[in-house]
Amino acid sequence: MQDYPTHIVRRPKSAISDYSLNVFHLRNPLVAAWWSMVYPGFGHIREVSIAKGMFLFIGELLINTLAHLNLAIMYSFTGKFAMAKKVLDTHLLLLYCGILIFAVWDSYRVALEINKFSVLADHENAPLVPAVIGSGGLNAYEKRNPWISLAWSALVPGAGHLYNMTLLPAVFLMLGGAIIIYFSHLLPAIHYTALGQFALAKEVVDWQWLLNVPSFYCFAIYDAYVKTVEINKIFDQEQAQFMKNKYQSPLFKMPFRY
Amino acid sequence: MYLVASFHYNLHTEIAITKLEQLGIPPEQILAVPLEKRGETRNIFDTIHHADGISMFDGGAILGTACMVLGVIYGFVLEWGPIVWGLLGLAGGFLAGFLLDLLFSKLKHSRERSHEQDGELFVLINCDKDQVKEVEKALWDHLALGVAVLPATIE
Repeated sequence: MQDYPTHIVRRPKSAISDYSLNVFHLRNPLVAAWWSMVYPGFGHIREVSIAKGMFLFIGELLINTLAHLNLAIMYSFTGKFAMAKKVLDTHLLLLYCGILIFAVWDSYRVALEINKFSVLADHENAPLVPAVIGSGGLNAYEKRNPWISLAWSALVPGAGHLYNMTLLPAVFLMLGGAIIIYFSHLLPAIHYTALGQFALAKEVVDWQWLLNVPSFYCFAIYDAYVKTVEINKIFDQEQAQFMKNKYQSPLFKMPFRY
Repeated sequence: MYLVASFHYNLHTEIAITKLEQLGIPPEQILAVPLEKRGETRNIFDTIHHADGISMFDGGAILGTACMVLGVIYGFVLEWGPIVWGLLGLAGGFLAGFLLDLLFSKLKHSRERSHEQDGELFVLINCDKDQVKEVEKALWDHLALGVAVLPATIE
């Protein structure tokens, strides 16, 4: 029989509960830093530090909204510098710089640390628990198709995470997505765009909120895809462990002997 | 008699082996050989900065997001508005990022792992001669990629 962990696993590869799961895997620290630059918090959510990432994200969303930073970015990019200056609220603006730089720096650092943890966990190769059932539901490492994960996330940000059974980021992305979609008036703008009424579409959107949409949307898709791939790898690893434990008996008679 | 079968890592694989045990073949007569995959080396210095097989998607996501933001911003002044330009930015950026990734990874390692359909797990089964047919069927029924019966065995 397979031995499930009775001692403390020093270097765990993953954690699974009936509500969520979390996996150490190798990450490119530059990509983590990029996501933090796009939106402070995303770099961390993509790494194992989901709670830290959500905290940073909420902070950035509040400051950005109150300081009208997105509006200023839009005016600056379209050459309306006077408007950009006029629209910015300086009560919280400078705080944004600190949060942004901290998020970029910390996600880069955490990525390097996590890579070390991941390599050590692979080396320790501690027995993985393949499935969990609890009062909240069932969770298991399964073989899932990353393209299906991507497609669901493209339709509903967060749905790919639900498919992966990573509930914490899924709830975060779905609630956050709903708030951003609502305040940006994105969906009415899509209706107008589909009907060819581009002027009305421009009029109806809230530009401050709309600029949150691209990064949020792309992140949800990207992260769901990557998580599916990595969870599949954990499935492989667990099954390989199981097979080696149970079906590599020294009593097995090899077919040819010398 | 001996049978050899190859599998993917999959729940079906476990069901196949369970089925064999139900047919009366004890675990000592089943040898499973999970293959280590190339590129998943456990070398800390080679892999620490590597995005590990998923980098093909990183470039697309990065450029896609950047161009989508730009598309939404310039949709403010362009004819078709932010939605169309945002989506065009996403598609164009993703494609450009993906192609760049492809180009660079081709240049970096010319030997790319593209054999995802190959077997990952080999199973060798020692069973009685009269069981061969049903064992073979059980293996095929549970998505074995290939099955072979060893013709000659030396006891």
